[in-house]
Amino acid sequence: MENEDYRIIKLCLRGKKEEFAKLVDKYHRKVYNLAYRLVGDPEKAKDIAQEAFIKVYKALASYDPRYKFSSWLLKTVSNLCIDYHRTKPASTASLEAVLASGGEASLLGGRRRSVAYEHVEERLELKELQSYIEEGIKLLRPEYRMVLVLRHIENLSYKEIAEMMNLPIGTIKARLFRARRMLKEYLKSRLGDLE
Amino acid sequence: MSCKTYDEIIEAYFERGLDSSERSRLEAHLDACSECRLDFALYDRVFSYLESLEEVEPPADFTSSVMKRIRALELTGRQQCVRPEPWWKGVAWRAATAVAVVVLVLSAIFLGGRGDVELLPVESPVAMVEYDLGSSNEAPVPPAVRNGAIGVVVSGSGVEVLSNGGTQWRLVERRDVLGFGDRIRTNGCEARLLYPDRTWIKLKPHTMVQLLVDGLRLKAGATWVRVVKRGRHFAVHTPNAVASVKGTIFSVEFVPEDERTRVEVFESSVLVESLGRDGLSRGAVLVGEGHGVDVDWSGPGMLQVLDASAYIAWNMVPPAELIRHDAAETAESTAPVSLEAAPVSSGVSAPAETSREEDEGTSEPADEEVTVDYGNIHVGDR
Repeated sequence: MENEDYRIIKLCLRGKKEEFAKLVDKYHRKVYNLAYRLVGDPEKAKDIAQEAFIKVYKALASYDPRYKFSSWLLKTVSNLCIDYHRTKPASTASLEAVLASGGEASLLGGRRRSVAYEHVEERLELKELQSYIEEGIKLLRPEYRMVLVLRHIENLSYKEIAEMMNLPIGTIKARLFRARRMLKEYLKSRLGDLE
Repeated sequence: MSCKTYDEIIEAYFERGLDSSERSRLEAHLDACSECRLDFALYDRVFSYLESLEEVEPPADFTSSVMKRIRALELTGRQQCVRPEPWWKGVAWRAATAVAVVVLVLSAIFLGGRGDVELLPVESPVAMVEYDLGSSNEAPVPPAVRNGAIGVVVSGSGVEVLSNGGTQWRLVERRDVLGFGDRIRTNGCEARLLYPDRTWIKLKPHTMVQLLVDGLRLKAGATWVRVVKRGRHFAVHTPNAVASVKGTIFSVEFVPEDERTRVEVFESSVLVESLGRDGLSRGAVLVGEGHGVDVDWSGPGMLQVLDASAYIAWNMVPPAELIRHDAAETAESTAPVSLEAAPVSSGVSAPAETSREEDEGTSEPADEEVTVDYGNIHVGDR
């Protein structure tokens, strides 16, 4: 409960710093999972997740009880992940760029094939399909990946995501829509390759 | 309807479901359009995949690692506002006493001379707490101020209040309503009091004040006051002084350890009245702009010229001549001890000033009376 979180925060502020372990315990799965899905590397995810807790702890006195503690925490994680992506040289083009520049044509060495819409069902069962989605997610820009993770793994509502990311609900909906459409288009281009 | 539009409808089908009419329209289209049928099947796979994603297991020692780092932080003292211990524990002369005792002692010592204002009616709410939302140059104006009450804006959630007549300190919360006679202590945080007339007061970390009808009683720590209103008496009281003012900028610090009050005036002038232990006047001194004075139980000391550090301590830009003077003669400055150089009342070194605001040096013309009452002074502009 959020009130419980605030109660713990107040205890921490009164000098009972060990109480903070309760908040770490309560939220570390969420925090670690968000970091993991955003950076895709367990070791880096652990670093970022721990850093987020430390950051929040250091700023505990500035906690504003009007907002959920969990939102503040997840927001901190997402900021750290964005910083991480900024410092990391982009090894791959974003999915957006790939699709914009001709989809599979650029991905697949210039071959552009059309998908035969009939008889695709059996191909949709292919195991590769799952790995293609995973590939596509990795190619998504962090802001798109973040909304997918928050929506589908953390099961947050649009409103919660909007509050967390400090963006209008409309923007969140639009990003989710675009993220999933890009994944769908990516799958389509990969299926074209299988043709 | 174009197939592109159906992208959105298919998406909506998986995201939130469709009503029956939307659904039959979609089904009819899918029957006719093989491309959308493929899109539908692909969206189905994307959604199934996303929904099948499961949480990954964080490392087993996650919590203990975080806590280990937090303990290490405490040792290096890197925390700002989260205080490891109640501030009063650091007061050397009372190190071993409990908070209740300290509060009682402080009350006995500091209120002894002017007990007449200790018990105040609390029927009228005078202050409301808001959290600081920004760092603009202007003091934020919480709604309470518009209603004629004093706004209390705190920099974090470590500020505490002791209700008039109460014995338990508690953390202030947003929308807390405070009354005259209530005490505020900032601990590791900062707070600002905003008066309806736009007078405002900054309280440094480790400062304790009591809200008075005509101003403030400073129990320990340092305050900076900018008085803008006319025709009103405003005073900062310490145990041995009362600073009363009108339309000016000044600061008052009371150091419990050596029972000394320091008043520094940055704009206009402030009348500082010295009080003896019996509460009777020991004389008064008019402190002009750019001057400071120390007051103890025996009376006001000599007026001193402020140096640049006094301004910097409150985030004010020192007058140009002081900067030049300081640059040329840093080593042999004859200026008096600045606020920051003075011992910190609580015995805990105050965290670095974090407020980013610039204090405007353009207060309105002074023709209004405000007093500030500290223990050993009565600061007033008369």
